[in-house]
Amino acid sequence: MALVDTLLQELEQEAQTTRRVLERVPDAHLGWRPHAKSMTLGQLAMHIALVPGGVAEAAAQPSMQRPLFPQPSPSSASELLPMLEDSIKRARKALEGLDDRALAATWRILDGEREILAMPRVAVLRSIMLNHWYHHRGQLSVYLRQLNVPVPSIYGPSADENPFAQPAAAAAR
Amino acid sequence: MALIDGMLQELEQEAQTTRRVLERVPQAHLAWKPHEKSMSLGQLALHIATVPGNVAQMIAQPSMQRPAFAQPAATKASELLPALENSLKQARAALGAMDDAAITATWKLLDGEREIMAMPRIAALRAIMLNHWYHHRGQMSVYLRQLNVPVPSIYGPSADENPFAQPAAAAAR
Repeated sequence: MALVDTLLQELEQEAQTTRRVLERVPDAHLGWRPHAKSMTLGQLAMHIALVPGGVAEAAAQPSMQRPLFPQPSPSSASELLPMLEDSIKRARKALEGLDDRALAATWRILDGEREILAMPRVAVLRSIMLNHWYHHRGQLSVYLRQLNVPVPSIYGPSADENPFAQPAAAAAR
Repeated sequence: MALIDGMLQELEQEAQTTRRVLERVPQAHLAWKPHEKSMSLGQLALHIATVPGNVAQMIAQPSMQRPAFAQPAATKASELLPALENSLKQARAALGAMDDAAITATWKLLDGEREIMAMPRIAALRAIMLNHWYHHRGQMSVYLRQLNVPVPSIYGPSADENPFAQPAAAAAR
């Protein structure tokens, strides 16, 4: 199995969970933020939708310039799922072009000519495309909770949903 | 390289980041929670500190019974870093004993005799020991923000700290 296959499998599996979270983002609260220094709900949700495609395409290049992190917000929550689907599609395409050699090769973030970061491409995808994605999805779950949106199961039970419960108990709720 | 080596490397690297987050948990606010259905700061922090060791030990077994999710809280913020170090030590010991055959073998989550989940041990470690850990650490970063604690860099700049900044600019702040 090529190295990239594991990443692709995980991407598809975690994308299912990410859909369940993004589909609950309430349109009425896109401008809400838990603190003056936080991203708004809309910014955070759109960032999560764009991470896989944006990062996979950047990582497919030899290097990238230091990102500016502009953090745009969608004008409607209904944009989020289509944005995620497009992003996953772009990620699949960028990743499928990477053989084991390309994945092991060094990728860099530059600030002009100054090197900020250099690591094997596979480590970039692991850390920035995947782990960083889960990090922000975790943040979003705290936003949804505070907006009184029922939180879906992410890796196990939430206070609202328990995928491990007896089927009978789940049906009785 | 054994399959487990990549995972051990990632565990050590992400543990560095987790230390930076847990060391900022403010003692005065351990009981704070952002919503009545949320874990308290002390529960969430202790959960994060104990995930690697607990999950690695669980998954080293052939199967486990559905967990009760007791969620104890740290009584002192100063317990957290030692709890994390102990947990990492347990994780290293459990993982270090797994050869490629053990790591690809099926692990099961059971409820009595009912099978809730069955997957290769390596997939369980990826999802529950690692990805689920990043998820909760992301949640913790929102808690810290709302408590006006400066948030450390996790995968990139936070509103308080930017590891990508020019060294000169960073020194001037």
